[in-house]
Amino acid sequence: MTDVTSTELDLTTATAPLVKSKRRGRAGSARIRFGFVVITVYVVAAIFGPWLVRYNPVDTRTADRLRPPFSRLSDGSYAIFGTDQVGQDLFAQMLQGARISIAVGLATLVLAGTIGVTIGLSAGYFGGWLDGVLMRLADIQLAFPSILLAIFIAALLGPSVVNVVIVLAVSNWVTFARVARGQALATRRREFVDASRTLGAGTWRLISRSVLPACVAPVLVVATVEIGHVILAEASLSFLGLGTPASTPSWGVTIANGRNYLADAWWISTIPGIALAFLVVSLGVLGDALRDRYDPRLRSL
Amino acid sequence: MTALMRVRELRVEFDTSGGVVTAVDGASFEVAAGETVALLGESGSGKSVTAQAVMGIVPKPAGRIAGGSITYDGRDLLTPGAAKGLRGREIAMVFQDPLSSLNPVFRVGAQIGEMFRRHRGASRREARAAALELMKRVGIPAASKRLDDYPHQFSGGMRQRVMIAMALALSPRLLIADEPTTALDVTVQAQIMDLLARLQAEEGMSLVLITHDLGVVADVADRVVLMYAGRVVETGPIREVYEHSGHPYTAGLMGSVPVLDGARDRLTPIQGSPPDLLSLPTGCSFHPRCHYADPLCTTDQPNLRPLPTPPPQHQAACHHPEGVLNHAP
Amino acid sequence: MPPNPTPTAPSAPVSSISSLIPPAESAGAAPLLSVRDLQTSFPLRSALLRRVVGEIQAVAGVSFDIPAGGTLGLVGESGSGKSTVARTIIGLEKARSGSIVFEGEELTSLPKASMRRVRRQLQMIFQDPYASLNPRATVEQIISEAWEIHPDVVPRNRHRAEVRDLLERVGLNPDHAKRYPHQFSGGQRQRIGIARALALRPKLVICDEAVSALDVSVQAQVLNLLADLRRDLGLAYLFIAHDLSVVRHISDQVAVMYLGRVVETATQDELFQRPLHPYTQALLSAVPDPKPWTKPEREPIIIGGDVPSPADPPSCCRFRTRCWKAEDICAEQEPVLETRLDRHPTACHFATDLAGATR
Repeated sequence: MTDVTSTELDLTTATAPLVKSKRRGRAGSARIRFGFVVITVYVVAAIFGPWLVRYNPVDTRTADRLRPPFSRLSDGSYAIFGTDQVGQDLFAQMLQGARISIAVGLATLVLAGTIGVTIGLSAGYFGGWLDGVLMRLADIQLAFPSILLAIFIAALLGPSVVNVVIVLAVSNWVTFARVARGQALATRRREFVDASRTLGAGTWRLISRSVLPACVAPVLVVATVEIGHVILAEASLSFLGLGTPASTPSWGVTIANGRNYLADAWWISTIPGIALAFLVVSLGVLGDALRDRYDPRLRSL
Repeated sequence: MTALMRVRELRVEFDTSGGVVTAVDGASFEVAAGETVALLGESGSGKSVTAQAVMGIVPKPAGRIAGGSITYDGRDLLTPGAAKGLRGREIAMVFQDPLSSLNPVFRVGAQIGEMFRRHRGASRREARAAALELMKRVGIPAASKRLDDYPHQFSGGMRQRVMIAMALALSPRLLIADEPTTALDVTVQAQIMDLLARLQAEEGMSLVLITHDLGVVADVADRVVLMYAGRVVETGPIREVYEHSGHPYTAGLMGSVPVLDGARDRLTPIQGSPPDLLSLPTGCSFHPRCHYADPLCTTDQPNLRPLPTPPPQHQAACHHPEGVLNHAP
Repeated sequence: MPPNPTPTAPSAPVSSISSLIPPAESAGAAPLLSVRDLQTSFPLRSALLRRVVGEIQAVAGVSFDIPAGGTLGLVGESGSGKSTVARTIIGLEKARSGSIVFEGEELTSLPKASMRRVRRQLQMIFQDPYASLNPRATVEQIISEAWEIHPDVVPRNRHRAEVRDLLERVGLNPDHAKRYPHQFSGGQRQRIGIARALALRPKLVICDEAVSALDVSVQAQVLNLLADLRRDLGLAYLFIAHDLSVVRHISDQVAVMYLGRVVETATQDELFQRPLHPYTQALLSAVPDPKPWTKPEREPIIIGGDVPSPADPPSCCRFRTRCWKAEDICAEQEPVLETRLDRHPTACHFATDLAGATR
């Protein structure tokens, strides 16, 4: 019978929520800072790295193949991460791979986010049979294994970066749809939306001015959590040969290439693997912290 | 008249992102045995936080009791250990929202009976019989059938009766009711107030009614403790306080209430907005909204003191009570 | 706070308030709003499959008129349907049957485009000053939204000036137009809501529990503001509240609702001094009085039980399950809302005038 929430009302409503956000904020800000720093390093490396350290996919130098990290190559340069089975500098290859991983991740999110938010908003705002149909579609999508879908699309269209984005977007829109639908359901009956309605606002105006803005924060939080999953999924698909083609050195391709040399040249698979794991974990930490701070209700997702 | 509970210079603070909020700022009052006291105030006045402090349920870790004392029957309620066995047994509380105060997954009869089983070591059968007895006493119709219902099957008014039954289970000597009728319809509110007054008379217990509604308590309360911005601004016998208000805030509240049989005059509200607890005015917190304020009020915080008019129990924390008293209609 | 330099003749009540029922023809001018036998219901869905298993008749045949510049108070407890009446009139819910005539136009059959035009004249103030303002919009955006939807009311280059005027009129600092709702107190937020409702220069404003969420001292300020606006702008109000003291304070005419029906209606003075329906009598008796000692001692009428569920209302007289006067006829024959005891319309077979001779 210790019910605190109901008696809290006596404090001005403005202060009570602040108490909570302050506590969360203090706990989460270290995690948020950590996540941002790591991700900034990756993004900067992906954008500027390939300009500084040139990578040429057809430039093979058998003399320098399978050199361990920090060895000196025949042209006098150092390979800090070593070289692969065809003598390519692994560091340059990974910078190029970061570009692809992050680009695929972002493109997937934009595509999945657009599809998901559109479907979710329509389902939540209009409700009724439309909601039923769209959400059953989402259930089917969730039940359908994305690997199978990837094999199907790769078989149909051939492996390419664009096709990876399509596969990943198709298997990730559901999360966005659920979040957007939840926000739409919660917002469409709010009094301030009713107020706009009584002013004579039409459906489009209500959605774009009232419902959509309410989705922005939770969708961004979900996107942060999801981008880690997407980057990992891209690497997995590429590893299996269903993702980016072998000529495009995404991390998954590089890891797959090193698989046969694990005994002699551990670094080919291990270093990209660590880089990938560190990025995905950092994104997860950041996403969790942002979610805790801005929208704890999303915890179940 | 000996005090059953005595609150002295109570201070409760909350950490917020905007800084430390002093929700209760040196509040003092007492409750005599068998007396009904109305703890009145608007939102942000600190009345509910005061009750939380008494019950030991100030939300942690944001909130803390920063000073003062609460004694019950000579025992210090704020020392851990000393209060053990008092709260819940001798001091019970009823909340505003009975639905969130009842456990939704247990039957109502079992929840009431649990009080007897836990505190009195009653058997299952005895507890059930005692629960039934209590449900009849608080006026739940067909009580024997409703014992096995869940809280959501009760209406708001009936749920509040269940809460009252639970609070009364161990025959407390002090019952604190925090806005017990605020969530209820007016006809049901009348029933619950009637019930509380009847039970108070039967049990001879002390009753503290926390509310923002001046009218609800007028029939039942003996004394009023009126709070504003964490401080007690006026206290005394209810009729004295309402009829001959000694604090401009009290007078302002009385002028703000539309009365049912009054002429349709303009109301005379208090000007301005309720205080921001994060940046309280200096001196008397009420001075920015007060007609009688002078430079003294902006610098010196007034303390509760007896008014120039009898009785001595009627006290107000105002530098200029004469003006308020003379101005009152 | 609300500036009122001339407190002369406080909000002079409109001279001729036509008797609510029978309708218009008695008085000369047609009423501003005329509601006839309005019914609104919601589908009742099963918990498991969300199938429609029945319906809740939230409003079960309600009629009233509001003259231009007049104020009708609509009182009732939870489940009485008073808010649904408001939401149906303003178009947030669909009427199942009945008619709503506003300025001579039948709203229930009005095409969407025409409804937009009528909406300007018909605005609403909501209950919750926190939920009714978009937290992501500034005060200026909130108020000027109305003019974006109806661009011909105020041209875009006049928005800022008009917002300032409106803020001033509702007693807010016009320099605060760029602030967000959370920077205001509850009472100030409600003033913003009032300013929004006034933006389209309506003739009728529906106040749905517009002061219920406010503290007493602030509530009085807002009530005074509403009275000032009525006087200055000639507004009519449909004032919905559960607090009878507040309703009496602001209304010319009062209708009491119980479970979707009007049980009694009269002028404010008449209803509060000579209630005929037992429910009205109990309701009035239950209103807390801040100075009970100034009244002659009288036995309070405390009715038992709660309001029955609107999903399963009692047959015929809906109040009979809680009524101390109920007899067999109350379950057999629906009491009609008609003038009884030569006083005013009430829907009770056993209407009694407590102020009259009978005990």
